[in-house]
Amino acid sequence: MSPFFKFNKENNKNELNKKVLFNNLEKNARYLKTTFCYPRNKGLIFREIYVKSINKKANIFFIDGMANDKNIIDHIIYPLSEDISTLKEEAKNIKNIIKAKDIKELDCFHEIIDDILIGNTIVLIEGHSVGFSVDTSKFEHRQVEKPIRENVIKGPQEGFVESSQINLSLLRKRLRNEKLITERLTIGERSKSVVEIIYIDDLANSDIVNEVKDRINEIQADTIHTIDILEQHIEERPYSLVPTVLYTERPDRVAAFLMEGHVAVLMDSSSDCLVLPVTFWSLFHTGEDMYQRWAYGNFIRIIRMISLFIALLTPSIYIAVSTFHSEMLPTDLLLAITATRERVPFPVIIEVMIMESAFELLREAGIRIPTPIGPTIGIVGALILGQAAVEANIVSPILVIIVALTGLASFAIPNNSLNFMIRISRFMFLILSSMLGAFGIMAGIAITVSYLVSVKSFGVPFLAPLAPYYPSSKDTIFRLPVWMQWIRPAHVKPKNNIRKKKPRGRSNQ
Amino acid sequence: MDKLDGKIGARELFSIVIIIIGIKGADMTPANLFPSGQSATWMFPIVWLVIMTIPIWATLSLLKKYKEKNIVEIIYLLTGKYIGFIICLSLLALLFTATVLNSRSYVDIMNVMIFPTTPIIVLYAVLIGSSYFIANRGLETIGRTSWLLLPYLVGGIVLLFIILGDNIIIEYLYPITGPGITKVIKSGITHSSLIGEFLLLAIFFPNVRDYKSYKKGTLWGLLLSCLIISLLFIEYILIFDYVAPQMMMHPYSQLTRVTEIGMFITSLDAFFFGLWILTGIIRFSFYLYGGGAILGYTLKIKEYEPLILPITVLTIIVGLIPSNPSQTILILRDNFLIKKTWIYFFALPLVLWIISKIRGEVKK
Repeated sequence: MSPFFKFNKENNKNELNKKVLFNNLEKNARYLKTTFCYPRNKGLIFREIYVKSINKKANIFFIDGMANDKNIIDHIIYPLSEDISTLKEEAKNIKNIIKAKDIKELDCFHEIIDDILIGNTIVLIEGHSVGFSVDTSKFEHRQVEKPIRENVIKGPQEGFVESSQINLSLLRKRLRNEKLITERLTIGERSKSVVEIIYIDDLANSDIVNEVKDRINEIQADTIHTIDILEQHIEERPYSLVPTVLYTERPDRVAAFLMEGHVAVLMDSSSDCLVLPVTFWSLFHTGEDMYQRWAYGNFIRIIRMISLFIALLTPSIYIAVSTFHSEMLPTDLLLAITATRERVPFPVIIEVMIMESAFELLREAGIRIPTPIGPTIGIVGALILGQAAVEANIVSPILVIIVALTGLASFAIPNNSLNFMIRISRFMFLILSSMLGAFGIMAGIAITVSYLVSVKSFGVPFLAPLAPYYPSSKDTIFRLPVWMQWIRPAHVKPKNNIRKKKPRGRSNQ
Repeated sequence: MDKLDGKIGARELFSIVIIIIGIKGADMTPANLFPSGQSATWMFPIVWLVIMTIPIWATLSLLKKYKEKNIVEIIYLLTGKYIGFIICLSLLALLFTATVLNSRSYVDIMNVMIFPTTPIIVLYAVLIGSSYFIANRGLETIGRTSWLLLPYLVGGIVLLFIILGDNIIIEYLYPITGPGITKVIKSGITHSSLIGEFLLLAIFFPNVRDYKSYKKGTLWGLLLSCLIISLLFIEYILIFDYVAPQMMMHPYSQLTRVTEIGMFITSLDAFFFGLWILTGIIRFSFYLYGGGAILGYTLKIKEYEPLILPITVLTIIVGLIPSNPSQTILILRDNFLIKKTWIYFFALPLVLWIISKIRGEVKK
């Protein structure tokens, strides 16, 4: 942003900072009311009470819907209006009278306004130039449910919800460690949001933690209300197809990442967590790979790796083989393909493009369609893509197989961002192979691989620990049995590299 | 433990060496070698290794002595401003010629074998363009890409050997000494510049983590590359006998045409062609980057990355000139680039080493 705006912003802040509370209750109340446009703004609740014990008037401010009414009545209004003249004189402090889990004294208006906006209740007392901010915030959110995007058959079935308190409790349940640190940052200029940065102090590299904090602090935005937007603010290459932040809804995965020295970012109103830095493998793995026994876990990884390549390359290989390298196919199959393609008026590339676009269309429509009419899409899709298109001689039957296989394989890619990356790159490979066959595909692969090895996520190479090589527990395409994973991945640069004692007998290093 | 310092390690260097040298068993090189080596052509790589031991050792000891300096800087330091400039320029000319001739031969092979109707300039642009993309991202990227893809490339060669296992005839290896052992050695020596890249690698000595990694990467790389070339030559002999490869411009393509698995897959040549061209793209990216680096160091330009683009464009322009590429390249490459330059690669490190010894004595 230009320096002009920066200057403006600083100026505003300074002005607000200067404004301290008056010694006069009326004046303070008026200031707050004007700020919140009370009484036009029905959101602000303002109540006057009389504090018997100290014989003074008091005003209470909070926002309807952000604060817990019951708590306010039980912990603030009731104790304040109660007669506690039996109490000793020195105990007659407001902080002692109010019964709440957290209370703090504030003397600046901007702090008070910020606190009201996060759901706290402000108590102003006659003759005091400080306000008391009582933690009463309570927002509505759903209960802990099953994860929707990252399903597992074996393993915990809890997902994050739209409340950072619950999310943190889900995390802390799994990591009972005194060094698990939650740092809070506030972002957004007009609407404040709280961002929580979570890491394990004696594992996570301080440079990475600071880098994350810097990037979050540098954000200049009116408001960032969900973590998905935050992700786009802090990620590495905004225009690239390659995601550099992991976006997950599984607390167990986040806990595992934290134990490797990664940093997690939570936000109050989002049911997801960002993990950084990430590598390709973090995007490619699922929680289940570890929960399943060694052989089964590796099996599903192989399947997923194959499906990744199928989703990326099958249509382009089909084009390359049928256009440029037809000698690769057995004569019978070649004749069969040619016979079915005989009546199709388009070149292969157009045919493939039509079908691939139709499939992507179906996919997008399937997400946007209201649930009650959802099943229709299956019928329409099957009819259009499968039967009718072939009968109308728009596409050849073998292509239906290819596209269906590609589509199926793309559903096996676990991460949403990785999924998009593969699906979009597929079209690039299509164009390349339609122009130059295997040469085009290989040129594409060379370029893709070289691009991937040069991408970094918060200073960590995207394809580490494979290229460049780093000592790790070899948890990449395959994994070792859990008891042999005694070393933390070195590319995340954890402060402590060793998970446990090296297993005796066999070793992986 | 921070390795992200823009330097490459032994692993990356090792893979680069294999990709730039080992691939020579699968380009037009056999066409240059088989006429003189006949059924003993596979011994050539061994002769090269033996002959080049001395200059390789000289280069290594030079690099060890002048830490943090690359070969161009060492040349300047030892031979002075003017002679050094000429030597570096000749190194650049050699590298550039090699890049042009080799890339043109690749394009030609593709044109003949697979894309008879595609304009040469398109093939050339895509090949060198992809190489440029990789080269432009730096040595680190070239190294990591090679390291990442190396297992698949080597795996491909192994697969090729397995598939062709049925077709080989062991007797073709005889007579084992081919045209006679002296002839093999003589011819081997004159072709030993084929592993002259070790001199080129020395430009990147400061970009390698330490001397130990450099030594390990280069030596193992050279050893394994020669092994791969040797094995490929043996494979050509075992399949075609030694007469046919003398006529073939590109025995590797012919070899992959024979591949078939069972009844269903009649030919896997596009697959092997793909692996081959993948290696080629990485190889040329290294050549382009090396060209940029030598030019930059020779002219004492610190930021040499922008020089890669003009070299790339020049490569394509010059590469398009030959009108009968097969013959031009065969003759030019054999008579000029390989046979005449071995003495250069052999003598230059030695001369440098002697100068450095004498200077060291004088200083003492």
